[in-house]
Amino acid sequence: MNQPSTLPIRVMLAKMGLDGHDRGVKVVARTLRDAGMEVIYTGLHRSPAQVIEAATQEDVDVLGVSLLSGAHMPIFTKIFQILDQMEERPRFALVAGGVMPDEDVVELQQMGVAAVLGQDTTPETIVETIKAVAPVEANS
Amino acid sequence: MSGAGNGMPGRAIGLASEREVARLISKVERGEVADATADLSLGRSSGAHVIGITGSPGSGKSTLVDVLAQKMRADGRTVAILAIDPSSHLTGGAVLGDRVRMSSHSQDPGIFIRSMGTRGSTTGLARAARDAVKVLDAAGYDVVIVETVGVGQVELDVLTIADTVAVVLVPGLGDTVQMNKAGIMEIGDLFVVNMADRPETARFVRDLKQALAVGARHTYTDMPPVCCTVALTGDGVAGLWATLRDFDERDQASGRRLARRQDQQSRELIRHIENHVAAMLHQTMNGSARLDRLRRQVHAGAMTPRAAADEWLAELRLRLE
Repeated sequence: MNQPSTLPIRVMLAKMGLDGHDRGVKVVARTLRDAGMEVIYTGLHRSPAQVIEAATQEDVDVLGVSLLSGAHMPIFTKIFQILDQMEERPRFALVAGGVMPDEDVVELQQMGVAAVLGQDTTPETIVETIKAVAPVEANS
Repeated sequence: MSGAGNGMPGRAIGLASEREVARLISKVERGEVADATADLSLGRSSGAHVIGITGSPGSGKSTLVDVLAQKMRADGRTVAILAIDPSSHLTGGAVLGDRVRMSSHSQDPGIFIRSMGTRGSTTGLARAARDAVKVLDAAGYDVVIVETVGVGQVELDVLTIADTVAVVLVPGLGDTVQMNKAGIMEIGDLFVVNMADRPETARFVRDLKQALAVGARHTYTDMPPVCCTVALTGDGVAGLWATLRDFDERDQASGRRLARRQDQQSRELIRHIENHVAAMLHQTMNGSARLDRLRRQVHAGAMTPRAAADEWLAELRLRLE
């Protein structure tokens, strides 16, 4: 039998809602690829339900949501609503990236967001954060 | 065969949710499960129609698969798509971008899309893709589409999983030459000329048909069909779907589907044995002081590597007998 091997960390990067700015998320995608990760980009204007479905099919370790439009609170509220209603919750960790005021960071973390990365986060920090929050592969 | 409300048609066996299917695919990718669906696929003479779709980057494959899947869904088929993208040889990472173009299926429970990187592996990818296809077949999807960029030996190996291989070409991209070199032209059961609204299309199709006719004469096979499509508008995709259905029906009626599955099983049997033997051999070599001594003699110029190998193997043969 083959020795079990480790897979690269799988990350989905999502853009939801009306926010049409994708240059940043594409830069992050390339950064993570260069760090040896597999990155699946959803494209623009997806709904939370669509993104969660995709992230489930892809069995990603981390779902990164890129938000520059100020809509982070309603969008994450919706995301967690959907996750809470699922019979079997997917295992990915959630990371928020982009433009979010400091006063919202605590509330996002309380909702369940594992990390919030503001605009001036360095590429190295992004990579280290993703590695840190990705769930350790248990036998499930 | 129509899809049930939850997307899992009557053939589904035990894999009830997308999450379970996704987790199982991850496990087979890691090589954790030796026989993911052994009990489920034994003795099955027909299952999903596995369609391989390959072509150069920029040929519009993903868009084509998107529209094709819509047609399949309209006919009540459930569809799983395995989209394979090249990984960086340096970092092992990849941006798996095919999914972006398949947005029309969001939240359709009858469609499952999974992206896979090549991970720079030689045999690993083909095995992982093969096992992923088995999982999707066992989960009950009527059609499994494997989408690859068909430029290298690795990608060609992946396509041996498929029952029907469609090669996507674009007039004016100049990739027929590349395709010829890579052996892609030989594995195509049918050819799709996408972006067929380009002005060069008529001449391109003529040249392609001539090339295929020559090939068919040499190998005594039928001339592969050529379908023209414009994926962006959907033109010609209904015809492509009809052609694919023909292949499916003929394969099942002629027994070719069963023969192909059995051939795949035979090759897999041999491969398992080979892998096991290779692993045992490496273990023996690692623990062999005699091999170390022979290696030193080779380094000192006292023996050629070939002679050293022969000597080591001679004793191994004695022990096996």
